[in-house]
Parts: sequence; structure tokens; C-alpha cells
Amino acid sequence: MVGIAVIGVGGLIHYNLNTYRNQYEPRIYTLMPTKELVLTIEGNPEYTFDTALLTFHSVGRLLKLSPSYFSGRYDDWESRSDRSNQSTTVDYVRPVPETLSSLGTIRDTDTVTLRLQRRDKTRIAELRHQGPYASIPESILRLKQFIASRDHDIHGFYEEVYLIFEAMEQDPLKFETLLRFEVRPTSKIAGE
Amino acid sequence: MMPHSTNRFRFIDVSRILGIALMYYGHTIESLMKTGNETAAMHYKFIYSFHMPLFFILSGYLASTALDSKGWSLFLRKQALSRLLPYAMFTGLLLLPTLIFPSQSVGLDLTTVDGYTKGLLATFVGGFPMFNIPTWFLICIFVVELLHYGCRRFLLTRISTVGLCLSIYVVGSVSAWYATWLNPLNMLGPNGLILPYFMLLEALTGYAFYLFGLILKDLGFFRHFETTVRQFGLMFVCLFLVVYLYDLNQGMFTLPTYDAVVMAGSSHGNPILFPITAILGSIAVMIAGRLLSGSQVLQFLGANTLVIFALNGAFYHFTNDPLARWIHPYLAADGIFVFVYGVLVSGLSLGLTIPVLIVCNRWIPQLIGRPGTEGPILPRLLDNAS
Repeated sequence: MVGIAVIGVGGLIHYNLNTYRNQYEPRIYTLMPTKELVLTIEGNPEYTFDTALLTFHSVGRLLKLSPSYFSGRYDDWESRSDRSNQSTTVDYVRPVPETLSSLGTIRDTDTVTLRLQRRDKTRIAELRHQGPYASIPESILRLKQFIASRDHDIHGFYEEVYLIFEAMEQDPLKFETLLRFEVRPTSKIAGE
Repeated sequence: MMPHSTNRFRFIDVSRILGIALMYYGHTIESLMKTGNETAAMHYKFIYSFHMPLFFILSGYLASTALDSKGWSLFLRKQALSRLLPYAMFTGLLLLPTLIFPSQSVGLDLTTVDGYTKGLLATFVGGFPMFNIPTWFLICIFVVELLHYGCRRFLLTRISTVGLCLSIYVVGSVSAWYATWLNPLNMLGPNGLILPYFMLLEALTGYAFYLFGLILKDLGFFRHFETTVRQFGLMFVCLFLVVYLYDLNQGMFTLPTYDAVVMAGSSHGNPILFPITAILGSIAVMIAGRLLSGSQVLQFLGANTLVIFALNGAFYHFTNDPLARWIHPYLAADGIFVFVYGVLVSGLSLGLTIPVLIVCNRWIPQLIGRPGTEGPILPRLLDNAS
């Protein structure tokens, strides 16, 4: 009995220390399918972010949605990083319950298009980035190296999940953003 | 010998198996909901608005307020053997198939040793059953019974019981929303640390329902509904009110993708509508239990609910999802089709547990919640006198 307890406590400490140490390390895993509310907004991401935040807030109140994180989803990383392009199209996304079947009387505006969609099971590579958005490119480089080292290839969208952002935190050094690429194993590509 | 109901609380056993049938139905429908079936999502929301509080109310209905003279350690030993031992056994039982079908467990990557380490630690140290999710109730009721053991010396009058019930409900509701650091679902995330949560957060709300069951018994509530006409009347009124009210509970829920009460995740939604639908639905099932209390089959199943309850994990983790994905393209989002599918699959699943139940009762009764029984393989684990 004492032996089992020692193994249990030892395993627990080891697991938790490891998890804590690796929380900012990249990883590959599979997201479960879910229903999503998508706002498609075209414009400069510096401003469309605020539009998305306000729209989610208003739509959430009208549809009585429970609080949730939201993300900005791009076709690829290049369309996110190209600051010279002032009219990038971004899909801002948040999960919604399956019981939400329509948007009711909510209509599109001149700049925002709304829709409900299902996201299938998706394999992603993810890294938790801590700090200002300006330092995201360094984390992206790290994430891309990790993907290549794990015999995976980027295949699909690039996404930023905003965990701690300007509406909650003044200090950009404390911002937390999950950076995600949709990926698939390299062997799968070779087999095609 | 197979256990069977005593006359006094026969209807409790029957209500319990009706609740379990609802649980099987809810879990079957949950998988269909996850494929995007909106009708299934509404059925899910309806069932979940009351089916888990029902089990706490039924447990409370059988609880005693008399002080235990046998002492803390004996009580703890008895509860551990009848709740935690089956929890461990059914976790072990469902862990084995994951060696062949590793992709079927919730929130765990079982293609790696890390996945198993996390699953085992979360199950045995965190008190959240990652390999057999439905058995979270065993941990929760274990904690509720410990709370009751500590509190029952204060339940001297009906007023004090009602007072404790209301206060603990308020504390539970506020904690469910604000003390998210106590929520065992924190362990499921990729960076989730394993801490000894042991469903303590939900045990507060569970204990409020448990005390409500105690109050129902104390009031002799069902004595006012002895005739069949009155029973049918009350059942239909309660069901009508639940149908009317359940979807008014629009949150806010702590799980953004589940627009429904999920007690395992301490997500209750509206703190006033939740207990109202939970109590009305539970009373409807208890009345149905009284109406059906003459059924020998239901009595037999009702007296053996722990095994049927815990074996639901096998369907929850391994068959419900693939079956729902397979049927999804052929099944219209029509209430009747969804209902027929749910009844057929959950009925079949429930039926499949009966042979296992008979074997467990015959050979290892000590491991399925009857530690005081002598068996052919293991000796009695607990003296009957205790």
C-alpha cells in the first residue's frame, strides 16, 4: 500500500512538473469536431480584431451564448504576417453549442459576414506564445521547425487563439496567444 | 444470491433504473449531437436538465440523519469499499480495451505512455475517471456521503435541514462559477495539471440535492399521492413544466459548447431554473417509479444499478460515437427518428449489461458495491455488523 502511494505521489509530482515546464513548448494533437460561429471580416487586422470583439460581444448577448475564447483564422501565415496588405480577409471564430441552429434576426453588415459552420476533427500543431504580437514571428519559426522535426507538414489554416489580450491586460508582455497550424503527417502526403 | 428490493423503498430502486435508462439514452444521444444533429442536442438538453440530480435526490431519500455510533474509520472503510473499489474495478475493466482501440478515450492521447500516465493519475489522484467518464458519480456521491457524515449532527430539525440545503446550494452555485480552479475538467487540457479535485466542487451542489431527497422523505411527500390518478396527474404536471422550462435555462454555462446542464463539469446555467427543472424532473421519475414498482424486472435491475451504471462507460467510450457517425447520414434531424434511435441503442446497450451483471453478482459481489457479501472467489471484505 505504501509502495503504491509512493509511486502515485512520485508520478504525480513528475507529471505536473513536466507539464508545467513544457507549457510553452509546441505540440501536435487533434481538435475534436465542434460547431462554430464565424465572422468573416475584410480589412486591416489591427482594426478587424476590435470589430470581431465587439460583434462577438453583441451577438453573444442576443443569442445568449456562454463565455468562450475566440480566434482569428487565416488561410495561411503569410496572409497574417504581410503588414503591407491592408485588406486581409480574416475568419474570427468561436465555438457555439449544437443547439444553436440559426442566427435568428442577426444580419450581415457591410463589413462583417456571419455564418454557423462545423469544424471537423482537425490535426494541429500548437504553441502557446507569451508576449506582444510583434514577437509572434519568432514563435512561428520555432513552431515550423517543430512541425518539420515531427514529420508533419502544414496543410490548411493558420490560427491565433486569443487567451489574454488587450481587452483584459494592459501589459503586452503578459499577452497569451495560442498559435496553430493545421497539419498532417508527411507520410500521408507521400502516400497520395 | 441476487440482491432484490425491500418493500419499503422498492419504488426508489425502480426510479433508479429509470434514471439509468435516461442516462443511457442521454449518452447515446450525446454522440449523435456531436455529429451535428440539432434535434439530438435538444433531447440531450432535456434529459440533462434533471437526470443526474435525480440520483443525488434518490440517495438522499435513503439517507439517515441518525448519528453513527460506529465511528469515522469504519464509516470511511465501508464507503470506500462500496464506492471507490467499484470505481477502481470498472476503470481497470475499461482500460484494457484501450490497448486495442486507443483513439476512443476522451481527452487522452493513448498512443503514448504519457497519455496513460495522465489518464491513470487523473483517475486515481485527481478523482476524475478518464477511462470511464460516467463513474464520476461514484466519486461525487462518496464525497457527498462524507459531507453528510460530518454535517448530520447539525440536522436536528427540518428547518436546519432546509437551511443547510439552501445554503450549500448557494455556495455550490457560486463556487461552480467562480472557483473554476476546483473544476476537475482543468485536467483535460493539454497543459492541465493533475490535482486531487475529487469532484469536491460538484459535491456541494450534489449534497444540496441529497438533502432535498432527505427533506422529501421527511415531509412524507409521496403520501399525498397514493392514488393512481393523483400520481399520473403529478407526473404529467411535472413533465409538462420540465418541457416548458428546460430550454429557458440559457446559461451562462461554463462549457461554451454544451448549452445544457453538465454536472460532471459543474456547468449548471441559470441558478434558479436549474434546481427547478432538476426537482420537477426528478419527482416525475420518482412518481413513474411508484407507478411501475410492481414490475419484477425493474426491481431486479433497480437493485443492481451500480454495475449497469458503471458499464455505461463501455458504450460511452467505445460504441456510441462510431455508431452515431455511421447512422448520421441516414438519420433525419426529426424528433421521432432521433427518439427511436436513442431508445433502440440505449435499450440494447442496457440489455447487454445484464449477463455481466449476473456474472459479477455471482463471482465478485465484493467488488461491485457489496463488500459485506461472501463470494466464491473473494472473502467478505467487511463484517456485516459494520
